[in-house]
Amino acid sequence: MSAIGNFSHGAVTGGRTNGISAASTMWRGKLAWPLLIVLILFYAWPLIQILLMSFGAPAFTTEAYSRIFAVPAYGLVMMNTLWISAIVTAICLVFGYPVAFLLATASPRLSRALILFVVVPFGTSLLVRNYAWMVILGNNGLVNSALKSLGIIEQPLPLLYNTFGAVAGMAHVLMPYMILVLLAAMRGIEQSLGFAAHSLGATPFRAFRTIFLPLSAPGIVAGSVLVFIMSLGFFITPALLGGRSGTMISMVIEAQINQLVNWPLGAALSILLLVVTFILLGMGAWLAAWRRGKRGVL
Amino acid sequence: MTKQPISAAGAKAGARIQFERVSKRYGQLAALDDINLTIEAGEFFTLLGPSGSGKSTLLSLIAGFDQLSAGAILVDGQRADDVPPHRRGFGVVFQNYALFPHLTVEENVAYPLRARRMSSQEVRDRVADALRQVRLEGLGQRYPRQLSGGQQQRVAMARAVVFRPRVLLMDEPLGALDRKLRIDLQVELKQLHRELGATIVFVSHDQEEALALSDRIAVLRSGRIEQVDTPSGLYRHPTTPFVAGFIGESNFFAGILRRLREAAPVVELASGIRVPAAAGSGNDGEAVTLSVRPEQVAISPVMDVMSLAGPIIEIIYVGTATKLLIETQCGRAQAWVPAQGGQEFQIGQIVALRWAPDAATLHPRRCDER
Repeated sequence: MSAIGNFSHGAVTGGRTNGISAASTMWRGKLAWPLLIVLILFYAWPLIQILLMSFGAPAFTTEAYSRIFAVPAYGLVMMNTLWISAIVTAICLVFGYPVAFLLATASPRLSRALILFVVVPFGTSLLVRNYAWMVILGNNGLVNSALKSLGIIEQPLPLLYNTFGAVAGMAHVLMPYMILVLLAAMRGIEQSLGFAAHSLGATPFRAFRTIFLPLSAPGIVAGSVLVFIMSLGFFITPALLGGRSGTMISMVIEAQINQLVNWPLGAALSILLLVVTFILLGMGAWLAAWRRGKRGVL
Repeated sequence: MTKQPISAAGAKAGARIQFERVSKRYGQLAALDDINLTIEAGEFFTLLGPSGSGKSTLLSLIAGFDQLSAGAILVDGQRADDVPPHRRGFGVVFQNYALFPHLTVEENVAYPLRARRMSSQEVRDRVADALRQVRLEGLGQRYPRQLSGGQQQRVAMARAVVFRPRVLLMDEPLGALDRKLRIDLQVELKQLHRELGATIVFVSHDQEEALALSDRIAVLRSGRIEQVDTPSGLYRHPTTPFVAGFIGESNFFAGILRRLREAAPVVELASGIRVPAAAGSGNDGEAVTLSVRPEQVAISPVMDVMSLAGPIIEIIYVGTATKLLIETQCGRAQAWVPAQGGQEFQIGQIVALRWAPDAATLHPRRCDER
């Protein structure tokens, strides 16, 4: 997310923080304490417990980790998780970018109206949206019955309880995150830059490719990292819509803990997921820093 | 300081721009109302007006960033208003410069040349020339945010002229700069105009800047053109009280025009005072507003009860002149007395105001005017 903040408000915040005295910074620091205490008690502490548990606390053994690397199934599920997350991210980007572009360039009134279509599903229950996909993609669902009545297919297509179902549901749920992050970046792009490009002889497509697209790149990076990381840990949607072929790491963790009561293995898998997430976040931050370094102060 | 004219080779003269009954409406609001105007080839033409007068709207119609609601824009006699902006080939300098923040100075200046698919050798040469002309050699690798406001302004200028446009549109390009820099750049702008030969359409709300730079000026007010004239024409012969007040400063007096026999016409102000007016303007008995420039007003001792006179209420010394504020029978008036005149004034001193008949300009009085 840092990439966006720097992109659209860099100049403004840069100027303001310089003017704020040390005393008021300290005062503002104290405001963060309540949440910080909650985070330590209910997030950092349990996380440490999980870390200890993955090493077989109170004893110390790396058995759980050895098992993860010895049994190919876990590696496969991890790869599957990364793969599904990558597809979901790509779909969100490809379909979300034009929507964000429309929202960013439409008149303020139209933009406010359109943004409702993005935000309303955002506020709808995840379960409701997942069950809606069951209605749409099921064997007797909307898509299959429509195709059957048109005579295009005889047997229903397998759209549910596989990777396709999981990807469709996850992309739907995560799309608003991508759109809103992209929109924040695009709103920081001055309209006059497009006018300037046109007046200098660039066709609309060329102006988009050489000016708008590169300037929205920080939003692309930030949105993709956000959606990818959220996909990695997704549970309900792949559990409901994914079935066997759409198995993700979170489903295996849930099975280890809830069904097999194998806490050390579940904890080790959680830590593995956490490490992968941190690596990705680090790569995203590195990419943003590299862009800034390469592109002057931007 | 020697300068290489950008337009040395393959120079094209400026284009002639005509507006025929151009209107622009935003919903119910008329931003521009029935504009008829011809900007001659190679002219430095300024659109001058307060904010909301429609001057920037007019500029964006020429550039093609906005569509007209009615009328036509012709460039060298050819219909231009249906041509997309990227094919019009006009250079535009924006108020905020609109430099591409992710491109270096060189890449910014090269942008219009690359869009025209010029060979990389030619792009290099032309960019180097343009940067030399605006005295930014050595800064080509910088990014816009690493430059000062004046330097950014120069990059914007170089980028707008590097492809040798026949028309250069400028939207308050000096507005964001401090006064000293603005005056330096005004001089450079005039030189640039002479070297380029392009038609320059310049938008400004600063009358001083407009008078200093322009061949001709159109004064706009609420979407209409009030007057089009040369700077000296506008200053000396404003046709409306608005122009008289907007360009320089003016004293206004409401009165009735009196033509008595064959004598010079006079204006009868409130309380029966008569002041001279220029010959040949208006009919006897017509309600008029008279405007006279403060520097045209002469101060003298009061001779008779029927002279326009009153006490001095403020004295402001500005070096070249002494500005007097006088509370006359017909409202407050300003008189600027040259500093060399040797006259001494005191607050409270009663003085009479006089001017030559041709120093006064008469405007027919409409109900909405002062």
